[in-house]
Amino acid sequence: MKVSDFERMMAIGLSRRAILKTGASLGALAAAGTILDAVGSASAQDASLRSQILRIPGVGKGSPTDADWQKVGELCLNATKSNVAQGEFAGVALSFMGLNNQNLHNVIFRGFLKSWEDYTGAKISWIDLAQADYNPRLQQAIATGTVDFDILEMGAPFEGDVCGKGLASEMPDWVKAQIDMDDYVDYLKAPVGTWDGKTYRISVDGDCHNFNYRADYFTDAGLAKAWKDEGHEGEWGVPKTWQKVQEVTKFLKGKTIGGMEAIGYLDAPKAWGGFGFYFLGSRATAYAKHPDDKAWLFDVDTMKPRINNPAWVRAIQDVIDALPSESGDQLNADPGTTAFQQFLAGTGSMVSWWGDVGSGARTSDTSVIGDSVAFDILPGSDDVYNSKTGQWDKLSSGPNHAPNMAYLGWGVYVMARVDSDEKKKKAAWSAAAHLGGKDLALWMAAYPSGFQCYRKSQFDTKEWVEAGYDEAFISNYLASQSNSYNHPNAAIEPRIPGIFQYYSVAEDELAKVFAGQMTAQEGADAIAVAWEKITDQLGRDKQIALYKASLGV
Amino acid sequence: MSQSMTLVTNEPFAVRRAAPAGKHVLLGRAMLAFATITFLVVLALQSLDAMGVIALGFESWRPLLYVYLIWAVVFGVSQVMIRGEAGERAAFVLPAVLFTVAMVIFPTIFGLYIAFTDWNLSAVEGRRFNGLDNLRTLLADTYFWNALLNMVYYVLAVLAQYAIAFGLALLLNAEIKARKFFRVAFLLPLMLSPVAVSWMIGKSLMEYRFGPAATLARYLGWDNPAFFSTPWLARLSIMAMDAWVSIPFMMVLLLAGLQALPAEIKEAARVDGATGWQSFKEITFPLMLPVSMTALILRIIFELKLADIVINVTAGGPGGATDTVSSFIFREYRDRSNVGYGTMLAEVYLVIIIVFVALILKWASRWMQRTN
Amino acid sequence: MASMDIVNVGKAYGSLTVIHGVSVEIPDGEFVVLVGPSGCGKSTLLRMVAGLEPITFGDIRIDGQVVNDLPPKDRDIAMVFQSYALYPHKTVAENMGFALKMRGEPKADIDDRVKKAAEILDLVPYLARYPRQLSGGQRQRVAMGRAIVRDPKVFLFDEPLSNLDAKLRVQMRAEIKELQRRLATTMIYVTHDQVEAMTMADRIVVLRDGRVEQIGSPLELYDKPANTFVAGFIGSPSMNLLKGHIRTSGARFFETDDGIRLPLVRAPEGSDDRPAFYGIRPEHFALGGEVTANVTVVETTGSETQVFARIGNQKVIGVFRDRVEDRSGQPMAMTPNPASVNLFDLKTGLRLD
Repeated sequence: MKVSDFERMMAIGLSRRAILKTGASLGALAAAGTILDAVGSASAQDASLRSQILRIPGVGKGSPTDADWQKVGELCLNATKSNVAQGEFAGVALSFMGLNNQNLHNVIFRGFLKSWEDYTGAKISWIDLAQADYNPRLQQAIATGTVDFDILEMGAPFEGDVCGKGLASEMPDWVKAQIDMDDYVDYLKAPVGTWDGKTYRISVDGDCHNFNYRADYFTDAGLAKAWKDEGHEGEWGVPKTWQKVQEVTKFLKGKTIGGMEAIGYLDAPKAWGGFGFYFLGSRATAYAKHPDDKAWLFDVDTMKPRINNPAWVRAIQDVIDALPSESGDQLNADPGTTAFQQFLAGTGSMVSWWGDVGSGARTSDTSVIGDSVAFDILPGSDDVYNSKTGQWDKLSSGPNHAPNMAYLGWGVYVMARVDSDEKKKKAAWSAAAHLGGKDLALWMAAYPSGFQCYRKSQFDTKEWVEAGYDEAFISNYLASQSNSYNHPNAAIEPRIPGIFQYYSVAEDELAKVFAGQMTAQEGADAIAVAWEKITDQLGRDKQIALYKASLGV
Repeated sequence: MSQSMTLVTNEPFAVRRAAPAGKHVLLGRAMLAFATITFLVVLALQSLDAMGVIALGFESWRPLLYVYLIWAVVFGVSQVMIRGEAGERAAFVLPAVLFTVAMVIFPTIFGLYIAFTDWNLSAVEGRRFNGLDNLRTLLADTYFWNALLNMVYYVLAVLAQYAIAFGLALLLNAEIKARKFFRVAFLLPLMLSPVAVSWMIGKSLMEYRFGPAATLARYLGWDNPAFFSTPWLARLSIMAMDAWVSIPFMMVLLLAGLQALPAEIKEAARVDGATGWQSFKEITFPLMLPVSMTALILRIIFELKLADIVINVTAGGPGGATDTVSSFIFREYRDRSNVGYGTMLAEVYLVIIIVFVALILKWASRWMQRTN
Repeated sequence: MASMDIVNVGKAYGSLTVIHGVSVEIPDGEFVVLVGPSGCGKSTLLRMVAGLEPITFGDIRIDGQVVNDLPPKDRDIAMVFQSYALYPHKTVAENMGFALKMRGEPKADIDDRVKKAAEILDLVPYLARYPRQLSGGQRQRVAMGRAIVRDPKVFLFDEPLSNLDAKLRVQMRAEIKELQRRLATTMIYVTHDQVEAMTMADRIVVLRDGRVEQIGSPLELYDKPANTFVAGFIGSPSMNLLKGHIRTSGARFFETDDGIRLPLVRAPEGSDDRPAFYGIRPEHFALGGEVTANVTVVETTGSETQVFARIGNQKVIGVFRDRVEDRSGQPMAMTPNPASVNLFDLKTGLRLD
C-alpha cells in the first residue's frame, strides 16, 4: 500500500473499519482474523501465521510502529531459521543502502531485520537516502565504482547499470528456494531480475499500468443513444482497443454526462522527469509489441530505435488527434494531473495509471468517482506492427494486447563485493531473502510499506473479500493488475543503463510535437536521432549486449 | 583590501616586530617545505591510484583533503614565522583565500575540465576527454538556443517588473492611508519560496478546472482559460508569477532609494513649476538611476537563474516555450545524468552571464556614478 | 513684482496649532525678513506662502488674489532653500534654466536669461559644471540664480546663508541686499540670525511660538521694541533689563530692586511705583556719572570694550567705544543715557510709553 493513500485515509478521519466498509483500499486488508480459514492455498500452519501477522497492529490501531515491524519480522523468521544456524554470522558487519521515503522502505526493513540480526549475530549499518538523492548517489557509486554498501534496495530499471557492470552478486540457489520465486507474478520472473541468465534480484514490489475508466459513462443511456444516432459501429461500451478509445474520445467531445462536460481519454503531454514517456508507451505497446517479438522499443541486434516506426508514430499521432477532444488545458497536464486532478476529480473517463488510482478512487478526499470507477488491462489494437516484415498484422486471436509494465518495482540486491567472503555473502543473501519472504510480502501489501503486490499469492480475492471488501470492486481491481502482470505479451521495460535518459529526451521532443511545432513523424525521427546519440555515448556494443541480456535472448 | 592593508602598515604597531628572528625563519621554511612536499606526494599518490597506475586502496579523496587542511594551517603558521608582522597580516586573509581556492576556484577550473569530457554517469566507459565536441553540440543544440531566446524574453520582462515596482514604491512612499500595512503586505510574496508560489499560484490559483483565476476568467467571458497551453500565454503566465515573487524585492530597493532622496530637491522642483509627471521625469527618475540600475542588475542576475517556477509549473512547455537555460541544464543533469555536457552548458552560460552583466555594468556606469 | 498679504494665517497639525493667525502686509518691492528663534514657525509660514504646506486657516494673497489653494507652480514665486536643493544631476545652466524649461519657454530664451543671471552672480565660468564641483558659496549663488532667472513675483529665502562660514555669510548678505535693490522684487527672507535681519530687511517680522511679536523697520525694532522678547532678541549684546519700580512722585527716577536709582526722563502717566523693567542697550551707557557698577569681566575686541558688571545684584553689559581700563572686581561709574531708556511692564513685558 502506498503510504500516501494510507495517510489520505487517516487524514480524512476514516477508521480502518470505515475503510473496510467502503470496500476500498488495498492496504486496509489489515482486517480481522477471519482470513485464517479462508486462505485456500496455504497450509494450515502458514495460514495461521499469515492471519497472525495480519493482526499486527490490527484493525483501527493506527499506523504500525517499529515494535510492530520487529514483531512481524520475528514471526516471519522461520524461513531463515531453516537455512541459517543461530549465531552463524556472528561478527559479520553488513551495510544496507536504500530509501527512507515517507519513513518507510529502509525504516521498516530495519524493524524486519532486527530479529534476523538477533538470531544470526550479524550487524547491519544503514545508508538512508531521500528519493531525490537516491539516483545521483547510486549513479555516482556506479560511475566511480565506489560501492560502499553490501545490500542495495533498487528499482529494476537500474539493473542495466548495476548488474550489467558486474557490481551485483549472483543469487545462490538456496535463496531462490527460500523466497519461492515461482510465486512471483509472471512478468517479474526471468528475464527480469536476471542478467545473462544469472539471477540477481529479490523482488519486493511490482508495477504496471492498467486501464482505469468510468463505468457510469459506458452505461449512460443518453450517450448510448447518441452513439447509435451518429452511426458508430457496435454497441456503446468500454473500449477494448485504442482504436475505440480514439473513436470514443472524439465522440464524447461536446457531449455532457449528468450535466457535466463529457471527456474521453486523458493524455499526459507535459514532461514529467522522464516518467511521462511511460504514458506514450501505454498507448503504443499494443501497436508496437508483437507477440512474436520480445523487443518493442529498440531492435535487438543494433539498438536501432523503433520509436520512429509506424507503430510508435501512430501512437504519437493518436495523442495529437485526441488532444483537441480532451480538456481545454490538456497540453499542460502531466501524468499526475491526469490521474489525480482530472480523473479522480471527475474530469475525463479513461486514464492509464498504476495501482494508486484504484486505491485512491474510493478513499481520496478529492475523489468524486468512488462508485463509478472500474478497471481493466490496457486496451489492445486491431492490428499490430511487425518490425520484421514492416507490415501491420491482424492476429487470428483478435486484438493484440500488450500491457505496459511501466517501472518494474523495487528489489533487493546483494553487491558483488561480498563474494570474496563466503560467510558475509551468505549473511547478505540471508538478510535480503528475509525481506523478500512470501509472508512478509502479504503484510507489506496490507500495511503502508511503499510496496505493492508482486506475488500471485497476494491476489487471492477470497482473502480480500473475507477482509471486508466489496467483491465486484476488488476482483475487478486485482484482475486488472494480475492479468497485466501475467500477460503473455506484456511489454517489459528494457533494463538497460540510462533508460531514463532515453525517456527524458523523448519527452522534450514530444513536447514540441504536442505543441504543434513538428509532425509525429518528424518528432519521432528526432527522438530516434537523440536516442542513437545516447546509445553511442553510453557505448553501443555494451548497450546491445545489456539489452539482449535484459530481454533474455 | 589593499588599501586597508597599506593603512595598517603605517600604524604604530607595525614597528613592534618588523622582522622575525632568524631561527624562526628557518624553522618556518622547513615546516612549509615539509608540508608542501607531503601535500604533493599525497596528491601524486592519489592521482596515480585514481588512474590505476598503482593500487594503494584509497577509498576516497579524503586523505588529500586532510593533507590540504594541514598544509593550509602550516602555511599560515609558517607565514607568521617567516615574515613576522607581514605574515600575521596575511594570516587574517589566508583562511578566506584558501577556502575560496578550495570551494570556488578549484571547482570552477575542475568543472571546466569536466566540460571538455564526455561523461554520462550511465556510460560504461566513464569519463573521456572529447575536446570541443560538447561545445559543438551546444552550438547546434536547438534546446539551448531556444532556452537562451526565452531568457531574452524573461530578462526583458524584468523591465516591466521594474516599472511596476517603481510605481508601487512611489505609491508606498506617498502619504497614503495604512502605509505601514501595505509596506508589509507588498513584501509578503518575497518571503515565499518560488516553489511554494508555483504550487499556490501556478498549480492552484491558475488551475484550469477549479482554480479561482480560471473561474474568474470564465466569468469574464474567456471560455478556455488555459494559462499554460499556448506559447505566449504560458510565457506571460510564468513571467507574471516570477514578477509576483520578485517585484517586492525591487520595490524595497526602490523605496529605500526614494526615501533617501532629499525632500527639498523635490520641493524645489515643485516651486520651479514642475508638474507631478515632470518632477518624476526630470528629478525623481534621474536621481533614482543609480538605485534603479542596482535593482535591475541584481534582478537580471537572479532572473537568469530562473528555473524553479518553470520546472514546477510547465516543465518548460508547451513545446519549450517557457524553457529556461537553468531548467534545461537541470534536465541534462538530473534526468539524463549527462555530466560532461551539462557542465559545458553551465560553464558556457556562466561565461555568457559574466559577459552580459559586465556589459550592462559598463553601459550603466555612467548613470551609477552620478551621485552627489 | 507683486504685493503680498498674509491675513490671519494659521497652521495646525491636528490639535496642535503651530501658527496662530499671523498677518503681514508686504507692499510691492519690499524686503521682509521673518526672524525668530528655532521653532517659532517662520519656516512653516514661508512654506505656506510657497504652497509647500497647506494653510489651516486665513488667506494668502498675491497682488490681491487669494492663492491658498494654488499649487506652488501657479503662484509664480521662487524659493531658495537652506540646503540650496540644487538638482545634482543637472549642470549649473540646467539648474538655473529648469523653471523656464518647465514653463516651456524656447531654448534660446532660456539660454539668454540664464546667461544674464549668471553674469549678475559671477557664475559664467561655472555654467557647465555640476553642483558637486562647486564650493558652498558658488552653490548658494546658483540657488539664487535659479530663482532670479525666473523673474518671479516674489522671492522666498529659507535661511539661505546658514550653511556658509561667517565671512562668506557677511559677503553674501550684502550681495543679496544689493540684488534685491537691483531687481526691486518683493522678497521674504527667513532667518534666525537677527544680524541678518537687521542688516538686510526693509521690515522685520519677529515671530515667537507662532505669533507675531512685532513688525517694523530694523531701527524701529531696535529703538522701540514692543516687548521684552523683541528687546532681548534684537541687538547684540542684548538689551539690559533691570527689575525695579518707576518713581514719579517727586524726583523722576527708576529704583532697582536693590534700591539703586537709575536716571529716567520720561515715564507714562500715573506709573508711580509701577513695577517694571528698565531697558537700556549696552552701548547706551556712558562712562562716569552717578551710577556705579561692580565690574566682573572686561573684554575688548579692539574696536570696542565690553564690560560685564553688576548694578546692585543685577547683571548688566556695557559696550564702550572708548578703551576702558580693566578694573575687574572693582566698582566703576557707568550711567545709562536716560534718553535711550525703554520701560516694560514687569508682568506683561509690554512696552510702556
